[in-house]
Amino acid sequence: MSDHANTTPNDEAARGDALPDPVLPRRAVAALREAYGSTRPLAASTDAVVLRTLFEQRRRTNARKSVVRTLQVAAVFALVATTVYIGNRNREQASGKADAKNAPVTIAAAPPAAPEFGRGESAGRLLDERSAPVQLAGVTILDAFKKAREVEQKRKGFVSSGERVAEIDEVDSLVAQVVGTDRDTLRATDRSDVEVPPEAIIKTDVGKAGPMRVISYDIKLDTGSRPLAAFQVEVELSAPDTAAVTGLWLRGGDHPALQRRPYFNNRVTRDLKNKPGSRVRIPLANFDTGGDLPTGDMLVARVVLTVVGTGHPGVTARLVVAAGPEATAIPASVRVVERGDSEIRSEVKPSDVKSKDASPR
Amino acid sequence: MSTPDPGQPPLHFTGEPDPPAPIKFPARKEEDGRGDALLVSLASRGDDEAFMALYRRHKNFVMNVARRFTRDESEALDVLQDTFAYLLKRLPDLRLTAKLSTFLYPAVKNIALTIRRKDRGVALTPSHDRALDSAADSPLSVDIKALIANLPEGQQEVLLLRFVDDLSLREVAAALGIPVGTVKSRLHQAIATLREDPRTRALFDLEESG
Repeated sequence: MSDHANTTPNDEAARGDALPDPVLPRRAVAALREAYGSTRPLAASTDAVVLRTLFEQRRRTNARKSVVRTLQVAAVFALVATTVYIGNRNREQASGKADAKNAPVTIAAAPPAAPEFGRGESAGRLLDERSAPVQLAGVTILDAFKKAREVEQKRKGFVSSGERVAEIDEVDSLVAQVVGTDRDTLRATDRSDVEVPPEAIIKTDVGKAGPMRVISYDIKLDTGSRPLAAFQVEVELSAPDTAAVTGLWLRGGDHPALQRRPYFNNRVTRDLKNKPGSRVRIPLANFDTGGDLPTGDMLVARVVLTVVGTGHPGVTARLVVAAGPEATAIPASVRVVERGDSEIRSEVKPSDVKSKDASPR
Repeated sequence: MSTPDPGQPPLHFTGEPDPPAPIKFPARKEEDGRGDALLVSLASRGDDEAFMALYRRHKNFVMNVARRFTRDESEALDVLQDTFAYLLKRLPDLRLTAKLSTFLYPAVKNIALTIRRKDRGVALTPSHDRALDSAADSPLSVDIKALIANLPEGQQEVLLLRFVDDLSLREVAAALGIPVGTVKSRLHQAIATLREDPRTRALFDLEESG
């Protein structure tokens, strides 16, 4: 043994390779096994306990792994869903197809359920005490007006007619952003005459509480001596607690250039109708690329409401932008003029309204 | 009334107020001709019967090795359970290329020594452990153990694995992670030592055995 004392592992292996397989007499093997190889058998019950414990441990481990795997899968799904949602939202914002949540007017509180009156999304959300301040989008009617002028100038032989530029995708997309809807809804709204079906007026429960009144508000702009080619205003309508707005119509101004109804989101009306004490903000916009433009104090839009109840609605307006024919902002002031009782306010019965054409246009 | 089969584990424990759901043990196969590699492959796919066959085949080996490294039977049983728990844990990825004993031996050794260190705070060699219950051994066994206890640990391991646990030289080499040549070299040295001692010379000498 002493001659192996200072050998390396490699030496030991090499030396062993040269040796024959070691053998022992049978009695020596038997003696070794007697000394070390215990033959005490395990009891069957011991085997059962060991195996049962092993399988129980495995069951618990698998259950734990299953829970962990489920949580991991759920986390991955949540991550993917969030990523997809954010990606879609960014794409929508980039393509100008953002829905009302991303529209120019954003309100923190979600609007209550309301009857459907049209397609598209509402830009004018129902307002309450928790409402966030208005956040105007970066896009204004000035951008749409510039784009319309650009398209017009590219068209050979185009002669401005003073009419609205007909369904140009880029222009309509910009306008849709301004009023908080999508392009298709904007076009559908632009073609329709009546925003509120007449039957909706007489279905209201509030109608039983009092007579129906028709009230008109003129939205007027004063640009002094400068011609007005485009404007964007924000009108806020509020119904009193004791009355409900059952119908809302819009019409254009007096001058031929702005005679057509302003662009707006028709879904905005549903947030106001039949809800005493409700308020909405409605972006209104219009432009004309023609040469004959109005100046001075002018009517640019008219809001007509049917109201049931005893209260009186409130209407205010705020000018966002007014522009001249060169697509540059011009100074202007805006005001709301309620038409006098003797002039337009009248009391009608629901049955009277039903039999008439409710559209002012 | 039929006599219960001692090899068949009971379906549930007796004397417990609310016994757990019984495990259905398959019929025991005393002679399972399937190799370790096949059983491991089956067990890794969830075949409990294959795992139990592996357990029955190797439990005595594991217990014997565990007893060498531990002081008492209860610790050896702990080692037995922990070793097969380790096997169960490794099964999904285990691809066996030799006898399962070569995989189990280092596991048993490590688990046993870990338990010993934890319980006693000291690390003991197999010879020390075994010497503790030498009172029940024959005089020859006592002499053999005394001699082997004086051998280097490497020589003790190869000697016992080769001649007590009946592993081949290659299997011993695989179990210990050393070359076959080293196994042979250590065995020769161990046997030479045993042959030199007058108490065991007659037992280990080939010529004297005729």
